[in-house]
Amino acid sequence: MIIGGGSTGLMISYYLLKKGVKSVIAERKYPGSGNTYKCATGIRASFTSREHIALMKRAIELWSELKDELGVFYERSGYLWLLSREEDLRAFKTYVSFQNEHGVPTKVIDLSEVKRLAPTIVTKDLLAAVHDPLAGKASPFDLVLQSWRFLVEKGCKVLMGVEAKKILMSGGKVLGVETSAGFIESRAVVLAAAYDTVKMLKSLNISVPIEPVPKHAFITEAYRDLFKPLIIDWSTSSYVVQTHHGNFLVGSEIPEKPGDKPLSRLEFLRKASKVWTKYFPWMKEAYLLRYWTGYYDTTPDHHPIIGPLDGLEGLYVAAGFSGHGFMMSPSVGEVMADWITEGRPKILEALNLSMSRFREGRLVKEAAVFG
Amino acid sequence: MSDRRIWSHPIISFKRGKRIFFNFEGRLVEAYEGESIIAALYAIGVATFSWSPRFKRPRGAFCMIGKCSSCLSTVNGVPNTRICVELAKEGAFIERQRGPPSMGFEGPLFNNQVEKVEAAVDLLIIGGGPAGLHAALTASVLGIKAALVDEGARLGGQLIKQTHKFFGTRDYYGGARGFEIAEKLSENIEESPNVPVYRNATAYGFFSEGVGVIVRYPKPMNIVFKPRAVIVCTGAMERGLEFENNDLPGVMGAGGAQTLMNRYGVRPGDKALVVGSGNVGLIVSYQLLQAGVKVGAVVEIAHSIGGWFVHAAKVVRLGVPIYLGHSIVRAMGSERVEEAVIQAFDGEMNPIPGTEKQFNVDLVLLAVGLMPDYTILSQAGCVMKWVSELGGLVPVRTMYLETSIPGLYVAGDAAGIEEATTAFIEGEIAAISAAEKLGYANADLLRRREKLLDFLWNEYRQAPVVERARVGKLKAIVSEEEMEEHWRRSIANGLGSPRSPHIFQ
Amino acid sequence: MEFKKLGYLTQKDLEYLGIIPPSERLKKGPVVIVECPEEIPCDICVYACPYGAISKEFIYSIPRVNWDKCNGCGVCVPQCPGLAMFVVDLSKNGVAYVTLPYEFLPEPVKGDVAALLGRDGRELGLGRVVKAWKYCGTWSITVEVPRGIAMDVRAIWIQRK
Repeated sequence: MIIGGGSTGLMISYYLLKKGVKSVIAERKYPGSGNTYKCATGIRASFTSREHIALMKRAIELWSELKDELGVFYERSGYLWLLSREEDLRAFKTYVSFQNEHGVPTKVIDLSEVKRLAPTIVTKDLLAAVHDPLAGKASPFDLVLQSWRFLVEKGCKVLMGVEAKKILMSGGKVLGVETSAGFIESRAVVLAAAYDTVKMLKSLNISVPIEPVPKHAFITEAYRDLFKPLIIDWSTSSYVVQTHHGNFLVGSEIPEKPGDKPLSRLEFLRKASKVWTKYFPWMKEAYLLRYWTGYYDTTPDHHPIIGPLDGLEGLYVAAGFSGHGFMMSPSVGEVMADWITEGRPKILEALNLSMSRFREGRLVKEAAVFG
Repeated sequence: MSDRRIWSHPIISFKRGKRIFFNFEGRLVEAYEGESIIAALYAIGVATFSWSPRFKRPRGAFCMIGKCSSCLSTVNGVPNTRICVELAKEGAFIERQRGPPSMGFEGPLFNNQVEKVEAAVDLLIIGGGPAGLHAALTASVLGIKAALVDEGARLGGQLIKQTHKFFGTRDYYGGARGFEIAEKLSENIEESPNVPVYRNATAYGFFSEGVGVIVRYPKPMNIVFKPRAVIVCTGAMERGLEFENNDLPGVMGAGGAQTLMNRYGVRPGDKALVVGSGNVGLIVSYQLLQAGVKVGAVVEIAHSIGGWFVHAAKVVRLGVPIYLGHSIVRAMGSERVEEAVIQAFDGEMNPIPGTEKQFNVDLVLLAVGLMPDYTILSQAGCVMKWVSELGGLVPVRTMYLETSIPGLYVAGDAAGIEEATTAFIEGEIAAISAAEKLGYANADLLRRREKLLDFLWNEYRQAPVVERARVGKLKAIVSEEEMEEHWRRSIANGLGSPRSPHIFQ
Repeated sequence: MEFKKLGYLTQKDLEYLGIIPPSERLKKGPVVIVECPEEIPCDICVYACPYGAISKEFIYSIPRVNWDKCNGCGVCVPQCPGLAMFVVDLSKNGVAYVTLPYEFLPEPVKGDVAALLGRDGRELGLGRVVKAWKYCGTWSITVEVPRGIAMDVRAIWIQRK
């Protein structure tokens, strides 16, 4: 049984099915309604930890498969990291060599190359950029709807509007889950419920170091394709990506306290517009369609918590993705399916991402986080 | 070149502005100041205003009031401009769009200096139709420091295109025509010293810093209002209907046709088929005849006429047939509607084979219902409820029209589809309720509100013909105690609505 | 009653609803015919009548006419928002007069020939405009019609370009 019908829960169900295991997903609202449909749609392996890189390199292989298997929109259209400060350029040069060592083909590019990848960009404040040609973007709507349909066709259950209330344990073993639609018996329960994972485990006296940090994004009306890569302005922690329908999706970091209720803030609109109209002056004439808020469910080391829980047989967690849940969902699905069916993931780096790392003080480092 | 302008009309004398010219895809087009771009183009026979992104199907205009996206065009280089609300300007360059338009242009655009303004008011009224105007006039009389913002170039909402005399009571303009009421109320509010009016102004959302309003004309401004109370009177929008080729140019909202012929004096077609026999469908049929447009038929899927008998009698005695138990199944034509096919439907709403009838018309008007324009209420975080009798999602509110966000009120069609008389009354009730919250109320004022509520609920809404709306409105109302309990609970759970106008204090 | 299916009142509806004044009253002179059979929330006619001949119990009640108070002046005809008031004069020999509201072009002129239409839109013959005056955009037109169809003529098209 999987609690949470976002991209993570659906992908766990999908890769379990590939191993011949049928699952039930309990989703409090409707599939995708949590963080998945609110995400920035980007997919990259250009991280600065071995764990992230390993998970994402595998995820990128799987995204290509999902494109064929389920007809999900996915393209390797790249990431472009805009750098305007000397210290950032220095730091990114070390990230790039680390990434190259681990098989991620990023490289520092000059401004003429930036202009080629992002036509019309004003580069006067820029020093250079980092290009990640392996990165790309996908449609969260496709992933949710196609995998959901596939799972149901193959006999898995996706329960909508069913809220998990309490995990029942006996003698250190999972019995099942008490839900708003009654008790569901299961020997293996996966918590893939974003911040609700924390609330669920609290009732078992387990504290999980995940804090929800409010995040903001807006999307414009659709325009003809202009640039392919997801573009990051590193100095302001902002991004813009043109979706495959042609809309420009924009995010930008503004000060927020973890746990605060996300509010609609003009401060966000002002900052995000200022950043991106500086690079793309024509954006002043783009019509804004929607603005929404969501969360990065952030852990102290910005890495997810994936794997079993020590001493609780049959209970697994996949949460705390710190803003990277959608892009990682295929490999996380595979890793979790490995854990459940084989007791050990094939991606060895994933062993470092279990809950116990916080207790044991084995935090993993990640620097390339934005938005 | 065809001329669709109405030069003489039995009711309206069109006051056209100065003659101007603009450039439409290399062709010089004559227009009059104060006219929308689309009206000027329609007048010379243009019917296609965009092409669909994937299949490049021609798309006509539908709503004519900036609520849909079928007329998005490039105006002076700016893509996705709604030319149904953008006024024609001398020398402007207009181009239609084939699928999504290009961005990324460089050049002398973007120098529009938008002034940023912060405005502290006690009361902000969003929408200047019947409800908003009445709320504003009430606020004006009470001396409340308020502001009225409206998307249109002219106040009055949809009153400005209503040429028939209104029913109801003389206290609420019964016997006067809609456009005359709009003119009178606009004049009164324009004179108000304490309620400034912002036209061409879109309230784009509730934010923790205030309510954002963008003013396009005459001087571009981005205003952040910090009101202590807000009344939302955003009205409604027209529904579409599913049938073959329902996107063919010439298929139009009934209200869209009213805007063209009654506001701008442009004939929407030569011969029409009207779908829906509610008051809107019947009234628009009569107005078409007045504008010199033939009406082939009114079709109604139900088995009795939806609107008031007197409206039906007006068109039936002029020879317009009403087909009950029928609906449109197909529109046909290459570039615009040339034919429409209707079919009989049984009690289970299934089409009956062999009952198709064909009409040679160039216009299909959809009068199949309205839905409340609830978007800003939903964005603000109001608790919403689906009430089919009211046309869709509406905010839950008290009898005094306060929503689940303290200090945020709703009135008129945005509170659930009804009609103009009740919108006037609700606007006044909402304004008195806001006045009470703001500390302007006295015993006389509260007695006035009780009197209005008594008239509304115990007289006006008792009429059997408005039963549906009455039932709907009851479904959307909770008691004050229940609402206060909701507020208490929300605050206790930390789920208060911090987007509430209260935080602007 | 079928009027919500037909869109017009049948002879049976007219009788059942008591819309037609008694024949003695019709003989005396012009009198109003109020074809407003549905309970709609509107009381414009009540205040339009200078003689207090029209009453409503509630705002949505069906209007009632006091035939003795009504002198057929026709002030109400162009005021009714539903265009549902008509005046019929059967007091003259040989001819009859129907006064009805009119909101179309061309504007009527005394002497104009008009096509006469029944409640169901059927053409009933020709008549002649004998009087026309305008109130707030709506014309009140009196047409001379053959006696036999005075209770049926409810609309006209003026036959002039």
